Amino acid sequence: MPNDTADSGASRSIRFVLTFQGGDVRLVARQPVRMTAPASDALDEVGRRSGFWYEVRDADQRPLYRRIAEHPDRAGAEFPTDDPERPLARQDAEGATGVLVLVVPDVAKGERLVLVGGPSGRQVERGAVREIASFPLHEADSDAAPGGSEPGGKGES
Amino acid sequence: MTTADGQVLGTTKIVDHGPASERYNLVLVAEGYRRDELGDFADACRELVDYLFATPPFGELRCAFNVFRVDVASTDSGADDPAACGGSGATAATYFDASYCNGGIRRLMSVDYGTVTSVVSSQVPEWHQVVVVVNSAIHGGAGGGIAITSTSGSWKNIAVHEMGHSAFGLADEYEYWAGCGIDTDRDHHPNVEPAAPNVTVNTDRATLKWRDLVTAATPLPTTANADCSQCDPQPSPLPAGTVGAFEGAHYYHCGAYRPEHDCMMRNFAGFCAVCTRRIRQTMEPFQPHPRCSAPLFAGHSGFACLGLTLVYLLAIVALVPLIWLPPIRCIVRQLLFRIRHCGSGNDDPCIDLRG
Repeated sequence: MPNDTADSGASRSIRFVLTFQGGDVRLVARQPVRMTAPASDALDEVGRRSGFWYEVRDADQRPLYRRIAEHPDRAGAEFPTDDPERPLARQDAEGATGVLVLVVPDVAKGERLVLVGGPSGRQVERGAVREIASFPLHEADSDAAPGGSEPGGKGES
Repeated sequence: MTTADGQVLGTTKIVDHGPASERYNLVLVAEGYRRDELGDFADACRELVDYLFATPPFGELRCAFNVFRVDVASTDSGADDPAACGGSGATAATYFDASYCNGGIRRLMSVDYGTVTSVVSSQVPEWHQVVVVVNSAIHGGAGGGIAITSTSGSWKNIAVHEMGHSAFGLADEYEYWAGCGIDTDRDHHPNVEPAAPNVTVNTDRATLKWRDLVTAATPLPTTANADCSQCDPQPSPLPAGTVGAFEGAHYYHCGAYRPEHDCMMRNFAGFCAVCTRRIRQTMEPFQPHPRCSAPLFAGHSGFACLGLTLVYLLAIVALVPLIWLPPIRCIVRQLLFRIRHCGSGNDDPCIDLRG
């Protein structure tokens, strides 16, 4: 049985492993696991924001769980420098691959995992956020996945 | 180059704070270690764990963590270092096929994420964060839920910083992209509020998202960059640890603000108060109930912890007799008497007990 709330403790969760390359989003694995998910962020209206977050939504598109996260697109890759005062920097890396691991609670009424974000790379702070990809929470519900792709398939952005 | 180039030998739970279903599970995976080098991997894992729990607030949160070490032996040491990125051109036959030069960037590493996912999911099904530790002296790594780091230079800082991104959703607080003096398009941050909790474009005291951590005496903005075409070289005008709004953050010289002058998400300093709060909030569901007590010497190895504890106990035992020497006992009694009677209005309350 799914959890009653997003805040319940050790309980059923679903782990999504996604890879990003350029604008392509691929679902590598969707694994139901009895484990605890990180605490949800506030579910109130996000407003005008830049960045990236993911949500578990119900059939009416209402968010039941939300986590703000680092933009997974590796268009701007962070790498170590040799400067101790400024030990990290970024570099454009349009073709680089990256991986995103999301553990979300298997909440009652949860239907889909939705990734929301704006442009990435040097333009990460610009532009409006939009739905990047969406996946059914449960494999049995797998159907067309707007913006994303099931294992073995190729996504679109 | 493939899983034919090695073998998964097994998994050890090196930090155990309870059932994996109830804790945050960090998994450290060996890559580019030959079988006879796996002792080095175990040492590297211990170093990383010690460093993590010595970095506030993780010491106080250590009971929320389990840490697993997955021993994987490879045929060769190291990782591929393609000449196309200025590397040596060396190739290494390793289990996860680690390589530098991801996307044409020399220090950006990649692995076979599908194989990592498969191995870790079979070894530790409840994993949250993986760090692939690559046995290489060449600086490099990559972030994400499956992070990669070579064991060179400040690799432990990099691993913790990357966890700041992948596990806690923290943004970079540095004010450049490629580097100070290099960027030409990082003068002003677009006027859109970032979703990340530790950077902002807003300096209004009434609506600043970390306003509850700012004292009334701290000016907002706390610093301003006098030349938006450059990184701001000024030191903090306020004591370290002061929370305010310091201009220069989120890859821009001006128009974006960070909570403190220094932070792990800026320059490998300790996590600022805003990041610390975010980490605590994220980890709350993983805390045992009732809370366990974090060890006093968090971050030290077991033997060092035991040794320090014994030294302190011996010191206390050695000092106890001194406390009860007659002159000292008299001073203590005198002090207690004065505390009891000096404010009572008694004409002669503070008598000298030695008389």
